[in-house]
Amino acid sequence: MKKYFVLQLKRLLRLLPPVLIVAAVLFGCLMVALDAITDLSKPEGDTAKFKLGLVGTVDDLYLQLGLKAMQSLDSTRYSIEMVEMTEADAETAIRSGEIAAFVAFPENFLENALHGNILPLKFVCTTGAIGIVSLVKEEFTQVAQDMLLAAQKGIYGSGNAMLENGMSGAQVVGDISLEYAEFIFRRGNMYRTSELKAFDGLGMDGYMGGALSITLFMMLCLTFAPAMIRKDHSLTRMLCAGRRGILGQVLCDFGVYLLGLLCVAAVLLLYLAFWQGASLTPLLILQGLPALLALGALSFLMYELSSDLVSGILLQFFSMLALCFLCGCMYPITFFPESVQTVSAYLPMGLARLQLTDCALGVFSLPTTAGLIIYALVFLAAALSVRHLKATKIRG
Amino acid sequence: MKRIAMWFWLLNKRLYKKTTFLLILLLIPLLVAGYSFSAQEDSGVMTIALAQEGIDPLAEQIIGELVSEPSLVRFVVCGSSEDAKNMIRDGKADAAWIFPQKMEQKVYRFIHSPNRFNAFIRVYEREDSIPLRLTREKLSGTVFRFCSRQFYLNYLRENVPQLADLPDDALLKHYDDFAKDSTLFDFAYLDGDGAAEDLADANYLTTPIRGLLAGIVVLAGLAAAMYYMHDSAAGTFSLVSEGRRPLMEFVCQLIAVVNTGIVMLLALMFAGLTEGIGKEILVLALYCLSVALFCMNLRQWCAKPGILGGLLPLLIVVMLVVCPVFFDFATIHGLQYLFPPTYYVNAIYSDSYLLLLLLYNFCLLGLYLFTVKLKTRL
Repeated sequence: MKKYFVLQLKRLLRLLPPVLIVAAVLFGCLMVALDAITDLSKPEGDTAKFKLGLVGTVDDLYLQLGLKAMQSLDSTRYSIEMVEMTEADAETAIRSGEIAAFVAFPENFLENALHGNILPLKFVCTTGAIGIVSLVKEEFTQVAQDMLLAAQKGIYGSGNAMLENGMSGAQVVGDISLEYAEFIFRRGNMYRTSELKAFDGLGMDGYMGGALSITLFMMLCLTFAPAMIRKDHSLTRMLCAGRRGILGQVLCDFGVYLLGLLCVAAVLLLYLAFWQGASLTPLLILQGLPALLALGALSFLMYELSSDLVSGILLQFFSMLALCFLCGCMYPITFFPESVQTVSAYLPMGLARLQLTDCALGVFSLPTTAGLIIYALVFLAAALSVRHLKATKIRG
Repeated sequence: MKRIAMWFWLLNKRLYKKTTFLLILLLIPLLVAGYSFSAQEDSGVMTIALAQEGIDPLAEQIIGELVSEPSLVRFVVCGSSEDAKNMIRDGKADAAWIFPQKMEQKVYRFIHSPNRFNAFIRVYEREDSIPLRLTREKLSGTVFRFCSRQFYLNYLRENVPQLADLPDDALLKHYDDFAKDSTLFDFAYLDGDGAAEDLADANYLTTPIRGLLAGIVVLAGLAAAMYYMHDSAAGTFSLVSEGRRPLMEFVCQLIAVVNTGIVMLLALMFAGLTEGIGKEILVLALYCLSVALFCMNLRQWCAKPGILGGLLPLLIVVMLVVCPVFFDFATIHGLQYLFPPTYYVNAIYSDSYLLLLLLYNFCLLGLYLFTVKLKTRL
């Protein structure tokens, strides 16, 4: 079996350079994506700003005064930057991502407002297709709208109450509007915030780093397909005839495949060490091995089930895509309902994701490790059965 | 005609005999069903635990409103503040909002003096992030809405003695009647019609379905390209003359893509995610054409099925990130136009993208013919 192992290793080594190049490119993209996620999710002090375009305010002096007053307040100055522009420029700016949204004031807006007739403002925050970002933007714009409408009701309602009873409402309206404005602008003072670390103390960047690593790793398993899929089983037949059992063959094939996967994992570790500055100890790397074993065994089983290159690649790809998606390796798992979260925690990718989280936090979880090792053994046993069936079929 | 029908039948039969192709077709309804099922369950982009320090009617009203209102944020009511904090520690919640006793008094003290010393809600968060800062806006907005009416009444009672004889109902009538059922913002899109009513029914879990299915159609096209290369090498098309091979390749691609596209359309209809059957069919037809041409172009540059298979992961990752499937990164707009799913996802809502899709098809066809001619000369 030693010669067989060396033969398989030589086959894999021929394929390794392009595989490592693809791995380097994919994991490089992952590092860039992680940096982007970190920038997007973590505010830099108080200077994270949303840019809001304003259309139709240039010619109105009072609107200009109001906007300047808003911009001078701390609660808005450090979170929203308002930029006046024409509608054409605003549309271009949204498409290019320069602004998050724009608000267009209709003509005679202020004149109408002074008479209690609030004309609706056109609010554009997305180009067209409904996506998660447009849903987020519109939900939080709705919050702002509800607050402003409630304030209007109080302000104009008090004015109307005064007028109906034969009194001038100007003083009361002025005072109550100041109170409402104060409440709105200082709304952040109504709560006191504290940070509470979770035992799973990974931020979004840490979570997505582990999750996407698993997804990309499984995709990279596909690149080994030309070496792993064999249509011709004459070698299997010959080895069986020479009393070199199927168990030995399967273990040799899997061992070689595992070495290839270790090389791919090494590329990821190098990126983590040099790009992200992660400190990688031998214990940490050892802790990640069960995940590699389980995922490698699953991929190996998929290859055993395939009869030709095309079917093998597609079967592996679609199974991997479905499992990775279900286990929170593409979307945060918390996006899904409880039932899906519960199921995913028992699937191989889900366990692998938990294992990587444990590695990042420096904790050891026996159930997770045991689960992965059991999965690895089950998949290997299944691969052995499939190879045995194929060998029996050939003999028959 | 008989010959065309025979070829059509044989090419379809060839596809449906391949288990993997059937798997691709099965994946589509499973994906849509899975997403639709998940969307109906209680889920959210973030999870916030809510708790009270005692029994307070205002806090109960606010909590009830937060829990019952449809939202991207999932709210979970906890029995105590410690339970809420434990949810964060256990990783089951992103934040906890703890409401105090005697909340009404504390709210009005805050309104009269809105400084940090009068803060009355405790917020615990697992990290300081922009999404969690945004959810706090929901908190302050909801509290404000509940308090605004009573604040108006209190203000008039305290500051306008001339209205003391009027009952509360009479004063509140002016508050309630002003701008009844009106909106401050008219939401609009840049392309297509304003679709605020579509947003009300949209769920964050189902929004990427169209993009994902468009990606699956591309995968089906790539699978067809690999099958074609495999079958071509095996001599399946040896009876077809050299001059007709490109047409044969195109038909093979198109049949696989159209089959997948039809299953995709049926799945979208079943999930209630279609816009209008006429437009859906038109866009789908143009999209299937673009995918077939895209895959044919890719095949020209990959000598073996193994190379195309090796490129598959890279292509899928790039398409899922670059195309507006999950997120629309405006900064890489230029790159988006290289891939078919961008046009499909946008063309449903925008006529300008429909025209762009047509133009894209012509460009792909031109590129293919150019590549074939170049290879022939070389």
